[in-house]
Amino acid sequence: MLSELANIALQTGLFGASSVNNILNIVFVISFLGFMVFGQQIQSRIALMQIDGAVRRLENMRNDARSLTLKMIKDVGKSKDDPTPKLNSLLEQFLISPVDMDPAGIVKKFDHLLDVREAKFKSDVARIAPEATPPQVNNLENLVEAAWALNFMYKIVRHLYLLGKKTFSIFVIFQLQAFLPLIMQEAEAYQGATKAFAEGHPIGDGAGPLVASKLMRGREIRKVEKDMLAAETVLEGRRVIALKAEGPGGSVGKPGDAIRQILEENNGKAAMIVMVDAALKLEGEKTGEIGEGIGAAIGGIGTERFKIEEEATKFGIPVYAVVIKQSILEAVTTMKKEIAEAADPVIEKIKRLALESTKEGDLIIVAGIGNTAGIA
Amino acid sequence: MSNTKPATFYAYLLIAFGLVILAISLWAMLQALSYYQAGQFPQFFVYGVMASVGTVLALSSITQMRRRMVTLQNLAIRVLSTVVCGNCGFKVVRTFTTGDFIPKEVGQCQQCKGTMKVDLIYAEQPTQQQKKS
Repeated sequence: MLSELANIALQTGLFGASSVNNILNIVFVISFLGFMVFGQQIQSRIALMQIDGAVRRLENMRNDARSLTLKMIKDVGKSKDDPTPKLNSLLEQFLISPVDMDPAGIVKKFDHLLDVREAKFKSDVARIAPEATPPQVNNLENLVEAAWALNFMYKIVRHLYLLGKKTFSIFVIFQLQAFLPLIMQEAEAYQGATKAFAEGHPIGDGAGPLVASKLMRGREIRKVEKDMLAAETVLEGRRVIALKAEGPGGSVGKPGDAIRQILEENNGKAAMIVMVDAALKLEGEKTGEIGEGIGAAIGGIGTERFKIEEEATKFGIPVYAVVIKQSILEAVTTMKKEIAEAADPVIEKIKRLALESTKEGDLIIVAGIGNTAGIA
Repeated sequence: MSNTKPATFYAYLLIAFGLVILAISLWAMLQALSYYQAGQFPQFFVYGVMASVGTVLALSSITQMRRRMVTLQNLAIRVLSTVVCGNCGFKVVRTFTTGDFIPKEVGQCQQCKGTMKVDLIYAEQPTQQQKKS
């Protein structure tokens, strides 16, 4: 059938009947047949070439992040030994999730694992940077985590690329190619994060702590559970306890434990919990736009949200969320002007919520959720 | 900032190179057309293929460099610290210096001798005029 079609094409001459046109006709027929038989392989090879380029870019990003981390550890930590082997070992660390066949109690197990991981990570970083101050250790820890994330992404993409190349499975190759733009976007975000943490800039995710920090100014600040700070202030005649992670080193603290402690201290008598956090915007939405909702606005694996929801349900306290919208890139890179300037309108929204939903003298807990790098 | 300038220069250089290739390709295309009109099909074929390949390569490289330049411009950000006097509200916007954090005390107010504190730290993309200078 195909050979008949080829003969017809050559005899009739799609491009005419001269000698040059005969060459064109042959080229046309060969390419037509070639694409019919090898089309999928050609597409797979093109996809593999694109993935190969992305793997190289990811490798460069990973190497840059590692070099920057090493430089910062040497500059800030002034380690006497070469920190490279210890850093390499940190970048290869992993966490084994608890068994979820019997999900009862899994949050506590997860929480415990995360505590152990964080303590280990922090002590390892402090060991390789012996002269770093606690805020510098926190920033270095964040920097190592960003480098770890880039290393992990590079290894996963390389694994799938090599697997695709080895098996020549179009499903592996095309799936990876389809997700590549999103993966690269996230990798670029982490690359930006390394620069922000190295310099000690506040990042977009710090929008919540920035609001809490503004509420805390001029007030007596005390330490509460798990790397968190609290200060009491008055807004529209209401008692407000503002919470945030301890800065200016990069930390997210444990807001769930802090809220539990504040509620226990006040016998569960809070009229409202307001959680201020950064939220991922949808394409087309403006950076710095403020959104309002119900529920615990907090990211992460879910353990902190679980604790806050438990406490709020136990005492029947309404939980409100005020979010500042931003992209993933903006969330982990130096805070943009639009995000920084959204802090004051957020405080106005909290005041309005307080007026609408509480009485004078009531207690309101305002939790600034997010990374507190560059914000004390 | 100083690191991004040579990169932008090379991007402009490559775009210029792409434009030269595009111009040559267009010239080849015109040549091909004239050979076609003169009935010289082998020459038409050679020039036509050259012009098509050149045009595709030039357009693809110009588009890629344009994308890269947009990325470079996004990277060229300035980080600023806004310092405000808690007493009189006097405000100074200056470049971020290592060690700045919100609300770090950074000295006395020039106007009322009150305490100046870092109020905001944020990244701002340079305006078109600042980019040119």
